[in-house]
Amino acid sequence: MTPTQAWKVLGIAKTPDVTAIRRAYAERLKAMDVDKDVDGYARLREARDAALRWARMQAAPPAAEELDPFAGVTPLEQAEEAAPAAAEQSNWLYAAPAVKGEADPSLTRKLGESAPKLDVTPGFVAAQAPAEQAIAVKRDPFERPVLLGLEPTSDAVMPAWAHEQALYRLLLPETADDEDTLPPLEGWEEAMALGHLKAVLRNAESVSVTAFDEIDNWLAGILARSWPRSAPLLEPAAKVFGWESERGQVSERPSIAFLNARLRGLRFREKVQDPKHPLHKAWIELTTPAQQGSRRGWFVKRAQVEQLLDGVRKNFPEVEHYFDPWRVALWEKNASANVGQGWFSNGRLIAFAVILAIQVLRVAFSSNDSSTAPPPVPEISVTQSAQEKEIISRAVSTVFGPEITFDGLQSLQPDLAALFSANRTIARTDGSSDLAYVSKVQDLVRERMYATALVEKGDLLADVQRIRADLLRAARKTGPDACMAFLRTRRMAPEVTVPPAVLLRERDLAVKMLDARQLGPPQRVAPGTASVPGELIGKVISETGIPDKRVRQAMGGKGSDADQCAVTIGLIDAALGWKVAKEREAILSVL
Amino acid sequence: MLIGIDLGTTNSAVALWQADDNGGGAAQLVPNALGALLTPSAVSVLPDGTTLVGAAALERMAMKDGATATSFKRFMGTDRKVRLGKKEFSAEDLSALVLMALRDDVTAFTGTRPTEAVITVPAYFNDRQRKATRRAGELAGLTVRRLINEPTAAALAFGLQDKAEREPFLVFDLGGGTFDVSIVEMFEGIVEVRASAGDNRLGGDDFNTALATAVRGRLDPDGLLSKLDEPRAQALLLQAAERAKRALSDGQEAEFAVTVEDRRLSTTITTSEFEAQAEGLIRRLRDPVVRALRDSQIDAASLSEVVLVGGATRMPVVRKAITRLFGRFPNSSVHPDHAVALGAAIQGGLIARDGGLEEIRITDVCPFTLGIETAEHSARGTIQQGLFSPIIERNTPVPVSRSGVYSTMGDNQKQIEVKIYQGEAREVSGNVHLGQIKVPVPARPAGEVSIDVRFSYDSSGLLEVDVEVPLTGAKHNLVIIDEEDRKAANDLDARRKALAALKHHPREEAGNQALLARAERCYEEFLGDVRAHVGDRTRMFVAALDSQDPRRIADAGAELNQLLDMLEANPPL
Repeated sequence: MTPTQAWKVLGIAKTPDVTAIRRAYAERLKAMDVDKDVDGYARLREARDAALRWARMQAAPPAAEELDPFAGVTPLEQAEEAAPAAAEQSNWLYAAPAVKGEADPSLTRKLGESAPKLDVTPGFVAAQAPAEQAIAVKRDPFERPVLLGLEPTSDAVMPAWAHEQALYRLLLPETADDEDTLPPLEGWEEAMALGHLKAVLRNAESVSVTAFDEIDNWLAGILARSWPRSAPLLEPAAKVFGWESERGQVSERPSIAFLNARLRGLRFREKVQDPKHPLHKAWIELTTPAQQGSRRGWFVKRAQVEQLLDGVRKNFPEVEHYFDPWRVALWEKNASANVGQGWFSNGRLIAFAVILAIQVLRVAFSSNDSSTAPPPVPEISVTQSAQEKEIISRAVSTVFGPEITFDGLQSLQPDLAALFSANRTIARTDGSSDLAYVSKVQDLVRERMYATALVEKGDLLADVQRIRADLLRAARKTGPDACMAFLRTRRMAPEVTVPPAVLLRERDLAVKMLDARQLGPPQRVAPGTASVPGELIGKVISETGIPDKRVRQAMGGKGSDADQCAVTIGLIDAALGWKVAKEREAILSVL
Repeated sequence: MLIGIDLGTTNSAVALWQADDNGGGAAQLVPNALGALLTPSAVSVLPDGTTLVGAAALERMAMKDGATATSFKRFMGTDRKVRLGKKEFSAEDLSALVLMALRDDVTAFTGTRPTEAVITVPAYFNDRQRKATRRAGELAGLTVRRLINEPTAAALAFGLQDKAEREPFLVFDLGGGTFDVSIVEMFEGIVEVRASAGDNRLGGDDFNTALATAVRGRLDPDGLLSKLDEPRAQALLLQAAERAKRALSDGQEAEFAVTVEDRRLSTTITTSEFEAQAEGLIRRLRDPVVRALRDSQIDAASLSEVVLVGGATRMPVVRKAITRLFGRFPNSSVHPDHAVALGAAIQGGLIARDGGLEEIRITDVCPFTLGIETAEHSARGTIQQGLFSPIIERNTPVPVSRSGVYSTMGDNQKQIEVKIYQGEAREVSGNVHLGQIKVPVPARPAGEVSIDVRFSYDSSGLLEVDVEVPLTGAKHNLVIIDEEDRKAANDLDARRKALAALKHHPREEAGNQALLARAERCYEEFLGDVRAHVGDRTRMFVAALDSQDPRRIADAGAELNQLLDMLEANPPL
């Protein structure tokens, strides 16, 4: 409706007076029976709305903000106040969703009943001078070496918008030209992103409902844009904003529809990892990378694979990219051939074998364990004092023996050397003891040895596993929980004493691997399974003295810590002594 | 006479518009037989088949053979029935019994029997629930002139306090079983509802349930409660939860106590514990608020007020959440329990064009999306059926008339079945089916025949569907009466007779009956000497009742009342 028509319908002359427009509307409305003249009512409302719109425009001439595509984001002055250096950059514009007057956290806190709690590790705050923190905000917060699960800076240090900005940069880094090819978040990035997300969500829950809505829209937008990079953040964000309650609604926002579909996919993926899931075997089959000459897994039923493929394609199409395309092709090609043939001939074998899932390992490597990430380049050489260098080289010699110096380490495996010194910087700021530092780097080296062995296989795998069994045995002497902690997190509890002989063997192996430059950053290990022959399980039962049922439970990742620990050690021992090389290797690489 | 009724989940109230001699007037609440303005929405059947409504019924809720129904508004519009004594009752029947009691209160108060009523319903009640409410009114012998949305009624009561112009304000209505949010604007005698949203499964009852669930384990480590039948155990717990919840509104901690088979179980609950338990419920309050603001494109900061309605908004934990949601303190200038009934009476006065009311026009919205079922060719070449195609979007001002064009999917298709749905789900299976109409069409290749489907939704909530086939000029019309409605219309008379045939407890004895029920409940709750004392006094009261001497009855009643007041105010441990 044009404004001219609107005035005619309302029966008044063009006026910017809101009261007059409303009065005219009220008079017309009272004079009509809306139920008898539905179209007339609709026209009247439309006229009123058009007139009010026009009146409002007269009152406030189009402000610059209407032309500004970033209208409503954090006002410039505030950003300048908080971070003068950032104002020149344009990135901050993406940072905060339109939160009028709420970029200032102190205001937010006045409105919210309870001030958001600051959960900072006490050592961290103490170690950081306020000035440095400001710099940390202003510059890229990730320039500092951030390694061992450090919580991102707290509210005390970063205002809400800075968390949003940091999250944005993490999810959509400038370096990536093409958003379609964003790599998944590295372990340390994921930890940071989760921390920032936590702060953003906490802020959202404490601000008014309009601001909440804006944060909701903004976050949904960037999570959708940066998918699949944003996958680890989806679940917590969806919970706070109740995205799933919007699922299947006519008014579901496009970004929410996109994320909800993926959320269901993620959940399905999680469920199907459970060995008890009816389609678990089919899932493992389809996700295992196929190589030339690969054959279909013989222990999976064709019907199950088909059910999984169909189901995924129908319900969670975005999950299909977890499948190995070659493997899928293997199953899709000449569908009718070989049906059930392998299955039958191997039937007896299966009765005595247990499919061992690589549960513990997978959890550990995909967790937000920052040590698995290649560290950012540290600038150590200048700042490190002689004393610090002394501590570092002591750590190097503890791990690798006296022949290896820090410089030697740096020439052979520079990223590992960087890790040594970066961790030293953290240990210093944390105020943790030298001993803790040494055991931390020792753990890191152990982890790399293990990860490399899993990839390299062969004799190296056997050697590493042999030492690992001894380490587990040593941990078990301290207690089953120390043993489990080492299994799950690959961190050796400080109270564990490892026999010198074992340490010596480990040191030799470490030097050998270092010479072969095999101590690079650990690669992600794809989940896998191995079938364990019944005879081998028999050995474990007789070695450990644990009854059959509990052994099987422990292998499935259940049962008491003591059982799981004993069974893992028993399995490693038994597998090391197993004659069939292929089976030995398969079992060792899932333990 | 036209009365306004707030038929609530926990409490109901009735009000009327009374014009005064100076050309003004006011809405006034009508007291019940006990002199209270609120009547608990509870119905109980005594062993002899007599029905009790209100406070007396509520007292019987947790007693042995209590046969009491409460919170039945929550299953309004469903087939669910509850068995009380020997008979089964639907939510409609039970609501009709409450409405009858309210009707009788008005008769006693004014001397005239009311014949017409305005009844309020939650804004987020769907068509089926509204129809059930309307039928309950008819069953109670009242002609329902209009159903009005609860927050709209509250807005009327709020707005007429000072008759000022109001920029958009938000009515936050959290009752016993339903939650509504409406954004309303008032100017020049127009009350304009801009948007409504809600959750018709969220209310004060849920807070009681959360509290009871949280406490049960530590309250009753020996599992005494599980020896009772579950409904009774639940009733005991919920009553105790209600008491504890009220106490928590005033203090930092409260006692949570029940008496089971002569043993008193008790534990303490603190405000922070309660808050932790209520967190999930509090979170659910946000969603409808966001939706209403989004739909009306209004910023929370530009709302002029946040008006609280409904008993559950008294809880400090809810107020706290509201203050945080809106960044300001809410307005509690209207009585949270009375506003809705008063608003209904004002609406009644407007309809009857009673004196003292300037003309006020209320324009409302339809809070649900209305549309029809369609099918689509999917990308894989299959046909995807059961999709919902909206015709009237939610929060469109009513009355409204909108149409959509649909065409045939199959070659030589001979008829199109238009199935009408209400709801927000993209697949019709998630929505409420309202009715259907079969339209014959000429056989042509797929897609060549189209039909116009026009939805007309009037201001009393009646939906009319017109289908036109342009090719033939044929027109089809359907006024939505769902299956249930048609069936119900047939046996409405029979049901009305059945309800009338129930023995109702005489109204003049309601006070004594309520006192007796309360004494019985206290007898079950207390132990030892106190119990014996309550028993003695009750027997004396019963003896007085038998003597039929009004003076003796009054004296014995007053004494018993005093004793119970004292005991309940300071429960002996």
